[in-house]
Amino acid sequence: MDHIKPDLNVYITFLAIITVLIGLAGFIIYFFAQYRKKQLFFIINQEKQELFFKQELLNTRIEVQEQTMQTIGADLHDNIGQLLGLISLTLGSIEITEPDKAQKKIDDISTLNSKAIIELRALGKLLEGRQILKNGLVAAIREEVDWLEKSGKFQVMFDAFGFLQANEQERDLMIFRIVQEAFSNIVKHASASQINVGLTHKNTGLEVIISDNGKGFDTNQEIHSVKGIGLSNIYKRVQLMEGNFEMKSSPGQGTYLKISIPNQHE
Amino acid sequence: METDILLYLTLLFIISVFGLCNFSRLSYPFKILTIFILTALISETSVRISIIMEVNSVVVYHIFCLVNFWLFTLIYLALIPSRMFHQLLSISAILFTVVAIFNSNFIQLIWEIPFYNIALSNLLYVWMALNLFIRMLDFPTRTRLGSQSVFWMNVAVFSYAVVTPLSIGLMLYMITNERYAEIIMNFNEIVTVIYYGILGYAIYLDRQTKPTWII
Repeated sequence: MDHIKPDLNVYITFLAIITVLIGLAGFIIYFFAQYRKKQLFFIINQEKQELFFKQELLNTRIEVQEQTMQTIGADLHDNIGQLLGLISLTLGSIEITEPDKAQKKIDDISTLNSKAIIELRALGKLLEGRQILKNGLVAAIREEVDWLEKSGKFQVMFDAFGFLQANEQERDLMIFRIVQEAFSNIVKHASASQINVGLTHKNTGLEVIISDNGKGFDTNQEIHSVKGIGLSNIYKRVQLMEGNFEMKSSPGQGTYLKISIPNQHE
Repeated sequence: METDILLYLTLLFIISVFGLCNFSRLSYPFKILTIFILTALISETSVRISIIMEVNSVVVYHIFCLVNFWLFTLIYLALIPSRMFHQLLSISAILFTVVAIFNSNFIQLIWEIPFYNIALSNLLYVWMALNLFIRMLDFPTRTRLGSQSVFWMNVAVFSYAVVTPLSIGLMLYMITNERYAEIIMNFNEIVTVIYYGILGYAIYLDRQTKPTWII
């Protein structure tokens, strides 16, 4: 009996070790299976998000094009159209019998014509400049600022810092559209005279600050209005780029908008 | 010195050298893991030298167990960025240090093998490893699991922490009863070699890929 007892204990202990080893192997296999399941779910989700991002990017491109067309249309109608109309009217009123008056009118037509050419060139430049931010984000926003200033209704302060390195074109397009949307909101609803635009490129990402001295609004009430749709578009795009969106406004106090977008691949 | 011991020390030496040569390319947790392998090499070498010189070498295990624990605490603190886990692990590490010092001074003195310290530290390793497994399930990446350095490191730590107390207990029993002690010692050696081998493989993988959640 003395010889049997320790052997039995040994067998039991060996059995315990084997059980533990089998248990360990089972646990690792189970973990493998669970991880694979979660990984597949994660990959599908990520692909969905990428698809959504691409769709949104396409929408943004279309919106930028539409906005450009609207600007061109408005400028053709209000500016070049007026100039050409005036040229036509002046031409019609020339009387050859009165050479002095005719000469003055021809001079006027020449001046109007030069103005029309300048406007057309500016429009051409606008079209060229919009080709997917050919000259970079800062140049595209500056162009937008120039158009605002040209209207004579706004005084715009624009500052850009730290744009020495190459930027990311897809992100820049989204940011450009956000800035356009913000400008559109100011033009349509703010009744502002002063606009401040700040664009800062840091190591961590990009920061855009747009503020105006307009009538402001109650952020709680107007978020569902037409202006709210514009803001929700901005918010959606900021979220898509995993950025932060901060807005401060109250009636009579103007509006302050701050957007922070992290660098991609960080 | 026996051949198996030489092979074991050579393995530790190769992994240490490899880790140190690629130190700048490793992520923070794997830099600490390299330091751990280096401390294992130093302690195991000093144990073997003590045995040759016929000096009691057990004190090395007292120190190594504590240093080990702190190195793994740093590794898991870096791998699991959860505030609650950080608090619990920090408290556990402090408590473990107090208990281990107390044990080495009053219960299992420095010329005895610190089984209580080893058992307690292994229990905490199991808890840390399980937490990391959960974290990995919560935040999967596109990288194949078999190519993830963190996975292999965690598998090694978890398996070793589960098997070690059992195998030490068994070895003690066998020595007491003078039966099959050599078999169990060999088993223990094989487990240890596999353990360090997997840790070495994890260091090799980390050189190329870094887990996405590590800052």
